[in-house]
Amino acid sequence: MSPEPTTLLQGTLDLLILKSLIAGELHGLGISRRVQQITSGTFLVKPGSLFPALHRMEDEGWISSFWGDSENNRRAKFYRLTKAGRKQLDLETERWSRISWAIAQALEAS
Amino acid sequence: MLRFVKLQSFLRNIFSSHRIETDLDQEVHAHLDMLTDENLRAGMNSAEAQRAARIELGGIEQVKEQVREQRLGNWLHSIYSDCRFALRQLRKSPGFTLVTVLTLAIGIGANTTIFSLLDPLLLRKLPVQHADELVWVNSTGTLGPAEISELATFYTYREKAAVFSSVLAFSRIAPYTTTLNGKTVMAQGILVSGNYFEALGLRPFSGRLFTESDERAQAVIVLSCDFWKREFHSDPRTIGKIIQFGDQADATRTSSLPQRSYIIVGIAPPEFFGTQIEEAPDFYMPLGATDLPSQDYWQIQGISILGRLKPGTSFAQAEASLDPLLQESERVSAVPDIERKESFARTLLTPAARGLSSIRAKYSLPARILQAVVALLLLIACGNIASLFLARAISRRREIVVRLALGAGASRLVRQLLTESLVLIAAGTLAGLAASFWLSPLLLASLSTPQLPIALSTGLNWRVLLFTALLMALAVLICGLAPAVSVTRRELTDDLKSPSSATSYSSRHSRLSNVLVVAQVALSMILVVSASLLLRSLINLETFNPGFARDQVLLVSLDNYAASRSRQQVATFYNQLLARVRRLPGVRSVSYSSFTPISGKEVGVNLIVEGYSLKPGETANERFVGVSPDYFSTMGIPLLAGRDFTEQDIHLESRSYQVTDVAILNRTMARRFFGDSNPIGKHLRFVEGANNRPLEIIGVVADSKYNDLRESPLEFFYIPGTHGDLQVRANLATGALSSAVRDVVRSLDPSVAVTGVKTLRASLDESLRPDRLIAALTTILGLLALALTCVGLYGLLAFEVTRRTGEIGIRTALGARPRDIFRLIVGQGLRLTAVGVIVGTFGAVTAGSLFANFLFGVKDTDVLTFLVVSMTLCVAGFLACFIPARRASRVDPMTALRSE
Repeated sequence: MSPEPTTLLQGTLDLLILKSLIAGELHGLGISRRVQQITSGTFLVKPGSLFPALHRMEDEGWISSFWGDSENNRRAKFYRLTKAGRKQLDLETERWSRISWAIAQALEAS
Repeated sequence: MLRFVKLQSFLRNIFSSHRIETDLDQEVHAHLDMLTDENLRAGMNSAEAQRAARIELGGIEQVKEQVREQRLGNWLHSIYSDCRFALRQLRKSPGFTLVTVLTLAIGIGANTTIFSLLDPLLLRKLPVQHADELVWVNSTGTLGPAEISELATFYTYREKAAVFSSVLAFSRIAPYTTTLNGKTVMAQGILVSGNYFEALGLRPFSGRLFTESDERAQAVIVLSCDFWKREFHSDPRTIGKIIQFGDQADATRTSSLPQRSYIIVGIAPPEFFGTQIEEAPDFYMPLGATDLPSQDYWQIQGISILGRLKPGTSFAQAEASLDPLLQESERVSAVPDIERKESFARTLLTPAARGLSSIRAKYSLPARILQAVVALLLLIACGNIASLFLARAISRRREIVVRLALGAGASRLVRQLLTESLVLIAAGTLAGLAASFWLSPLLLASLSTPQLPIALSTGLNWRVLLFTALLMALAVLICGLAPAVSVTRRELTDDLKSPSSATSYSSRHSRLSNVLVVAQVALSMILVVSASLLLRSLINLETFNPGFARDQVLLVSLDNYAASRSRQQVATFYNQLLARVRRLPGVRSVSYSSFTPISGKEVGVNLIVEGYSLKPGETANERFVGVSPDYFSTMGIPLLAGRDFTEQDIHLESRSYQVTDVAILNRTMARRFFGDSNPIGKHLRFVEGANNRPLEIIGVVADSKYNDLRESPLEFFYIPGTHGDLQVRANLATGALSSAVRDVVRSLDPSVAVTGVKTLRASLDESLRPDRLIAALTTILGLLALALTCVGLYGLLAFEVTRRTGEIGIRTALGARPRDIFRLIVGQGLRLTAVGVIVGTFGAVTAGSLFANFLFGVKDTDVLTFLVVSMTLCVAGFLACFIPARRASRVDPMTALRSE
């Protein structure tokens, strides 16, 4: 298994979480599994990293939460993107593209 | 928008923390359940599913803690929980808490009290615009500085002085009585130039303030904010009201403000209390209110002139440019030539940013002494508290070491210990602040007398609070930080191995504690020596022979009877008065004099002395007073040669102002002008005045004190006077005597008012007020310091005994007797005390040299004082050692060794 996202830039985890919520609302476990899915299993987000990130992002106002029923009719806390969150997603996406382009350039140079 | 959201989150985290915690708990548990479900669906059985879920989650509490740590506002939360933890810990040791809070309250309270008096007196600048530009304009000459007494000089400066951007003046007037709302009220105000308020850049609180055009106005008045609040109850309709003033209450001064009505045109700003700091005027009137003031008025009252120096002008430049103006204005005045050359030769500018003060000079040194003393006291208190904190931290070393080993962050632990210290110190500071809030007015009241009321604004203001906060920060740094840091160091193994927590007391800690105690003893030595010297000084001042008898003399001051009556009337009145008072039962002797010794009044005059030629630069400006016959016997001043005055020495029929031809010198003056030869029969002559007749010297009296009890011998002479205040020597009780005298005066002339009655001793005691105050305060503080030091020494030795229990047990087992153990502990204590006393002696000598000039009759290196104080400290040290040493001598070797 590849390294956890927490060893990378904090913004990367945020980016993945925001991206995973673009399709709709998810609870904590759902977000974790979705990130795993959209990164083709590269990143496994442990609860120890996920929860702090989720609560931080909620404090920042990028996602909002509410209690609802999960697939198995269990009570679970769901998260959804806010308008500010969508903007942040665009910002982070753009930043990530810039960084990866820069690193690609650096690696090609001799 | 986003920032608003973050703020909302922050507030939510703070105030709904309980709900958030429950929410988080539910969320994490829900997550765990879902993980378990997933695993069940994947085919694991119940137990396996749960276990796998838990492993994946990583521990419920850990996850929750990780969320908490990064939460917005977490720092606030942890501070809050640190505080609660600290309070819990402190409640467990009430003795420690109480002692610390009390010690600190004493240390900080004393400092804040003294500072709140010192600040308005010495430090605070006037609440006016650009206070640093203000200077006080005086004249000076060979006789030293003198206040300018010519209104014309002020006008000249205002018109022509180019170095000043503005010049203003003010003058004191005696208190007035007036009736407000049926109540009789005393009000004291000042006269000001029209531009007074403008030049100071002040805005009225209500109504308007004076402008230049008001200067000659005679019926306008501005009230001070305090007076308005007090007497008019902040009534906004006060502007425009009329206030009536009657005759002046103190009629011994030449009457100045005639009775009339004044319109209240404005209220001065609230924080403004005039330009003379200890006199907070109740009202302000323009100079014109004196109704074309006479020469006499300004000569007696003087005016204080303040100028605003243009920026960039140096004092030397300004003084040089003002000198010709001074000369010019004095030349056209009636000031005699010689006085002008000597007294009004040059201009003298002194900075006035902190206002003028007549008491500043007198109280400046005592105030500084007190500030130093309380600072020392605070250091001693901090020393005690630091040791206490250290001992407490050490006793918790095991707990701390275990926590460190379990992975707690050292900085977090330091923060926790520091919070405990902070809570204690904050409590002590608040207690001290509250105490000083109550003490400052008390102290000020003990300084103030009816004759010299002192109205410093000592209330709680931001400066005092800032000062206190700084003290608190200092205390935290000294007492809290060092122990906290040293105890959380990571040398774990030693402490875990040793079974007794007390033996983890490293030698470094021991040395630190010893140093603290020695320092405290040294500081106490300095304080107690200083206090003893000041106390002895005070006792000397109160008991030495000032050249006249202190006791059994009553002083009675009368209206200025002579002001509006003929010489004959005055003479008749006083002759009858003296005769009648003399006949009262118990009265041994009566006299009068134009003013009494140590009253602060003095008059000097230039003389030509027969047979004595002045050397170049030498002056013969001598102080004198006019007295009745019997003055010397009433006051108990021995006549050394010649004779006393008699009634025949006054010639009422003389056409000039000079009514006598005789004078009596004191010994110092006789010695100066005549050496050892007999001055009787020789003559003096006043320099000023036309038609001066020479005065024949008919007697010599012993020296006494004239202006101040501390003064060195002054030259002085007496001439027969025609009126003045009475001195009555009697064996009667003061109350009975004073009413008897009042009756006599009333029966002679009901229109004459007796304006004051007090004993000579009371009058002298009043002049010793600052000395008494400082002696009392330093004694109290010295005793406090001694007490604190003893407590500190006791604590140290008690701790030592606990620490060395094992060692003591071994010694006893090896044959030491209880007496030897006792001596061992006491020896340690006395050694520390001795070192402290030696160090303190050096400190006390240094400190004493700083106020040596203030002492009276005792040297600052007085050996007896030093010896007695050293003995006292050693005895105190011994007493402090006693209980711990006794406890040590009773240690049972078996229990001691077993507890190892």
